[in-house]
Amino acid sequence: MGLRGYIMKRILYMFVLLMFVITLNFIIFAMMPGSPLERFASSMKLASQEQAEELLNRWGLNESLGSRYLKYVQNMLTWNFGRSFLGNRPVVQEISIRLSNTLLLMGSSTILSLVLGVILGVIAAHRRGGLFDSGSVLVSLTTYSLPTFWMGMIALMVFSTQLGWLPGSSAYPPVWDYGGWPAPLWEGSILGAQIVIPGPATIGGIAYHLFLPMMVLTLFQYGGYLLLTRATMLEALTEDYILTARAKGLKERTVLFKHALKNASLPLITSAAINFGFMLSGAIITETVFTWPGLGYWIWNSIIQLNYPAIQAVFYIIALCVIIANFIADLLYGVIDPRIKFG
Amino acid sequence: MIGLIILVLFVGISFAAPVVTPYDPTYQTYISGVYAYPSWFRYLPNNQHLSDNVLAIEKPGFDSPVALGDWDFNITTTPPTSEIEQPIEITYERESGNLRKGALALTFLPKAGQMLEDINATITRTFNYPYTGPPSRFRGYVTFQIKEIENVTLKISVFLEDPKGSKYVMCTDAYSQTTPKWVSVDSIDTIWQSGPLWRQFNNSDPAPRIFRSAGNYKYVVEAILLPKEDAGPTTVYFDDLNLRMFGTSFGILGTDYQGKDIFTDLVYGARISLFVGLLSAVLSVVIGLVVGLVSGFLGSVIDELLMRFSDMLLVLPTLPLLLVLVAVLGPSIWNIIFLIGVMGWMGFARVVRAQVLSLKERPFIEAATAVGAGKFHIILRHILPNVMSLVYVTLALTVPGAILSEAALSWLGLFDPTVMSWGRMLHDAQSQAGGIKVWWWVIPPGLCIAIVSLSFILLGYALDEVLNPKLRQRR
Repeated sequence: MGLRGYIMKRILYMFVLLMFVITLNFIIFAMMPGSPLERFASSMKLASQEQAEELLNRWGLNESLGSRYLKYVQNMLTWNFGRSFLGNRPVVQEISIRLSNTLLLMGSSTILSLVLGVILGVIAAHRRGGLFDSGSVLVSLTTYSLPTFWMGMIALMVFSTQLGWLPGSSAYPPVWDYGGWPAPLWEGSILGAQIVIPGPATIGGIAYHLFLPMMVLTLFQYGGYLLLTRATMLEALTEDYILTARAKGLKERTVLFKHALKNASLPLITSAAINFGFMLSGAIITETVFTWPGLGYWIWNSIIQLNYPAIQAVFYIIALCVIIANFIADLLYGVIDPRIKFG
Repeated sequence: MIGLIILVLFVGISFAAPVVTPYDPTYQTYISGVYAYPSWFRYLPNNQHLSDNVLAIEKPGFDSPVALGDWDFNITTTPPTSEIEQPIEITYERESGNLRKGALALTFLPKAGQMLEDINATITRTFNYPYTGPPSRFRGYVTFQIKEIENVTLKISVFLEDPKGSKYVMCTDAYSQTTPKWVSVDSIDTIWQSGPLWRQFNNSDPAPRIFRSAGNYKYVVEAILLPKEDAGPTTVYFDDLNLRMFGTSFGILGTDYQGKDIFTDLVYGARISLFVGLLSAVLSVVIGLVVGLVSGFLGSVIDELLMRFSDMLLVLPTLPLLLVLVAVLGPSIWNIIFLIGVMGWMGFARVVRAQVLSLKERPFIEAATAVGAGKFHIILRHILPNVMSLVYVTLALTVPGAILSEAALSWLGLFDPTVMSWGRMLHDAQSQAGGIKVWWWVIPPGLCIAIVSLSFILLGYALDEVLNPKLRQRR
């Protein structure tokens, strides 16, 4: 079929998934018993008839299910999520405020865990059967089965409460909210866009707060990557070309990383891409443990406080992220694996 | 092997829960001090000041005349009279107790010609407080009933006397009417920070001021009668005089912010966590099995549809969906089990389907079809037993995920309020002020979750090795 046909098929599938997600969202929030709309409508019985009718009209609740659905689809596709129940700000604005925080935490920990897991996995595969191998497998299994939030709590307890080395909450020193942020390195506009390059003090403060959550998250994620890398590397190392490379006299490091890892990396890359998609839902727990003011923490607050526009929007965005991540993974798969390109 | 042992231990504990622990954690609170250390802490150096629960009075009621012997009585009058002429008698009344049989009766029969200003009767109990540090809080009880009273003002007060002789009044009240029923006075409760004792110490905790050292303390109930002219016979019954002291250490694992025993919580939580984990894993596996079998065997359109459907479900973010659905449907334990189960069948369905597809081509299936076996018969009798090994292994490996999901849900706050689970313990520890510092509250539940998960994983791997000989390594 070739690469182009593969990509087209994937794009089509992506749209099907998207519609499915939107529909499911609609079903949950509009039609389930105990759904927000019904609660809203039933509380309307207390108001006078005209008021009830007026509100129903304004919110479009008395239109048919089909037309409501179409409007919903349109809203979702144009990123119109409405206003949050708390604070009455547009949901898009609330999200954009917190998105950078979440990306900072989750992005950095994912990258770090990926690098750490791959390198350690390669070493473990290289020294198969040795102490390092069994030791790291055991450690990875253990950290995989520990509950994240529990380790987070213990880390907080040890480092933050008892030893007082690291702060326990928020993304930057709270004083900055009152005294202002430290001076940036450079501030100005390029082509009309505001660019701010933070100075060393800013970076230091943020890094100080970032350290503990990032460490805990990395500890949890690297286990999966280690196990996966080790498994694929073990398989790749049994191939003949490795033997040839060693016979040629190449350094062991070159053999491992340039030859074996490249060929073993296919499942790894797709797994990493898929994990990026699930990053946001993992963020919920982590950010709540550390009270990190990001998207995950906000999601949890919205769910607890039943802030339906926010929940809907976030749900949709997460599903969107997963769909896009899967698509990218499939794309990468198609590009890297020549069997698809030429088969 | 290790996994099996650990698992059996936990299952055993969960069944034995009501036997092992004397308290029901949902309802019993404040059985000891708040944030009490585990009691074995006392044996560590530098911790001699911790105290444990002390029951000052072993048998609070007066069940028999012998009980009177535990108490000391002292009667003084103003102006002083000799013993024979004292108008007060303290006896044991058999039939008049409060909750138990028997009470202590204090009878005042004014003798003709006696002009007394006041009569002071004390009932004292001496007990030994063996700890060098104060209790976390204490509570005194006195229950009395004024049977008859005529022209006499009766003042009843309760106080504590420390080894040096200082008196601390716990409560005091005056009465001049009969009380039809028993009056129970919970003289002070230091939890609620009220009462004469707190006021005595300028609204600060009385426990460390009073119990400053180990020694013999006295619990005194004092009745002062002030007879007026024409005073008549007066009878007061006392029962259930009790003093309980709650220590700063208790139990195997201490207590939490409400004084609940953490060990009890842990044991009861084992039941729920295991129950939820197993049940949701079973649900996942069953759904996955059915879908995989049907899809693999019946093939073509149904197969395509089911697989596309499961792919779509895979795309949905598990945790947010779980959160949303539980928030909408209500956090009951069955909802949680159902939702966790429904979230996890997709992977297994794929694996089963692959296995079925490969099994379908085997000659024995062809033979069965040739004989005329119906489709269901083939699935149930021939394919299913070959897939069972997969089922067991996947079941063992899915349970940790389910347990972790339930713990995560509880920790985020969506737990069933009527049950105690490990995730809920962690949630309480995080949300209560000062909870994070209390390591004996934070560590045990998480440790248990980790150990149980690990044991299931080990079990799964062991099962895998047993059922799949190809995986066995040469040792």
